[in-house]
Amino acid sequence: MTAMDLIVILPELILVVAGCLALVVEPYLKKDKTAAVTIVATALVASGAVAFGLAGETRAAFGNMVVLNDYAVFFKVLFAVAGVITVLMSPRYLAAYDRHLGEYYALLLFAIVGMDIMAAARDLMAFYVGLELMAVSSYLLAGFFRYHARSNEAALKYFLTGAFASAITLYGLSLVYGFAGATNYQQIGQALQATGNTTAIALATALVVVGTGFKVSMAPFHMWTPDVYQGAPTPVAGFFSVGPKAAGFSAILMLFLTVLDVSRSTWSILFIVLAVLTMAVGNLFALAQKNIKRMLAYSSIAHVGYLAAGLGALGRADDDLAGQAILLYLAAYTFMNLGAFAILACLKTQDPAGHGYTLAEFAGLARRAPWAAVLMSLFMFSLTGIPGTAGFIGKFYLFNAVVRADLAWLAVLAVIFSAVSAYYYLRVIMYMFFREPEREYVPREAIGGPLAAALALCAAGVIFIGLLPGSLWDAAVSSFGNFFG
Amino acid sequence: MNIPVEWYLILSAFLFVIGAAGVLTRRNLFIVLFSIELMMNAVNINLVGLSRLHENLIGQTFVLFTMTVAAAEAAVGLAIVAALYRNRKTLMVDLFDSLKG
Repeated sequence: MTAMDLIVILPELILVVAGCLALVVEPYLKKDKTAAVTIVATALVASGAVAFGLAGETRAAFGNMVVLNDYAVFFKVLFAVAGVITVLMSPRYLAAYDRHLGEYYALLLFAIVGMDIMAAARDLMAFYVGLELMAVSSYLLAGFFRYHARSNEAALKYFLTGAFASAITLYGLSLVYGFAGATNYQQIGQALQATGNTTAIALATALVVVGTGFKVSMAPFHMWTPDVYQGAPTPVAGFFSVGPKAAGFSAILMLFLTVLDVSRSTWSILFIVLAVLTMAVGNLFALAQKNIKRMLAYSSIAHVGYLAAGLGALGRADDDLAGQAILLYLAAYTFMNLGAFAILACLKTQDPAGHGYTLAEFAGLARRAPWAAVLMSLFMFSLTGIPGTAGFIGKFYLFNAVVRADLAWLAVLAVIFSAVSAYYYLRVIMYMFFREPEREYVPREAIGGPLAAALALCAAGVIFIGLLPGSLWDAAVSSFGNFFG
Repeated sequence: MNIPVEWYLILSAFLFVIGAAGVLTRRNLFIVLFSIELMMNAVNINLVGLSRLHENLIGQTFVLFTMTVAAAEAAVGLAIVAALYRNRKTLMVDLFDSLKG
């Protein structure tokens, strides 16, 4: 290791130091935890800014275990943004439950470090350690309200499925090591290319698809998702729905395009099958949900289905269009989904004892809380994919790439399922604006403070990407493709 | 006597399948945790056996990482189980069904 190696992991170093600082500083603060929140938020901004400043560099460090290139930078900036929004969502929500502690922020930062490593890893060992750092921190975040049976249950379900999935992935990776005799992505890729696509490699590929499919909640490995999102603290659920998913996709793209490139035909077909299943399960189950948090969980499964269709297309096509579209989609999805969860967090913060996230409680929200209703509508429009919002741009590029890969039927299916999704997204808007509330609601304090900032960030992101996607698309194009350079 | 690498792979495949079956069928939370550990250890045997086959130390290095991570994971898992037991006074997984819809 040389001192230059540290530059490659500088964004992560900042986060680790800030996480430890938050742990040490928070116990000394009395009621007001602003200092701890400030440290964490500043560190995330700094991490994102440093990563952004390193764009264009290509370096490898620690014996080619991690690299710094535009692909890693894209994800590091994305994770930092998701982290900032989550941190801004959290203080009042946690305070409402009397669980405003430094551990929360430290765990969040450590999870983001794990995600960063997943995106930057070019070695199975580094990938695995990053994955587990993210996962273990996430289990604890899901169970952060440890006196609440539901939060415990969410943590347990997340832990059992997560550990099971890790073990399956790892078994697949151990077989890959067996064929290649190396754990470096590039060396494995070359070694496997020499052996060709045998049945045994196809088996290893299938195991890795199943394991990573669990992590990003593709159907039929999605059962844990709604339960975990419902039981976990709302800001954490929002974070789970974007952060670990984007990290999962960053690693999936990397693993399948470099390590398992030889079995392209196998994993491409597997992902197409999973995409169809995932879109169907996510959208159809979301229709039946009366609980908005569970509805958003199923909707996140549906979005994973669209992304999986992109993965299938990527395996079929000769160009990188689908990969670039996946990157763009992940960025768009981060803003809109975190925004929707921020609204839920806001409503729950206003009424911790009474609010149950049910659809009925959204009736007449436009009159009680016009700003919340308008912003929620924006996020719902975006999730549906209405033109002018980030969701439309993401779907447009993604489905276009799917069509270009000669999978027009899959794109048609995705569009049909998007139309189905309009029903459950727009139903929320209908309830907020046109339904009379079933009971009287006590007037609540308006949204303010950091939560308002989080909402503003999400809304700005959704509108900006929706109207001016050019710069983000350019970033996605330049990030994707050169994985090692 | 030289033990061929296939023996290691077969042993590990058996252990892995036993572990996976345990996770999917057992009701007691501790047995489920043990089963997950069994799956991780199947991976370790695989890696060490294959490391011997390739005559490099990468597999054995990998095992050090997986063991460390498995220990951390077990610690977190047991912490979650302890918190859950305090609230629910049971360890049967199928009774944890308050989240559904």
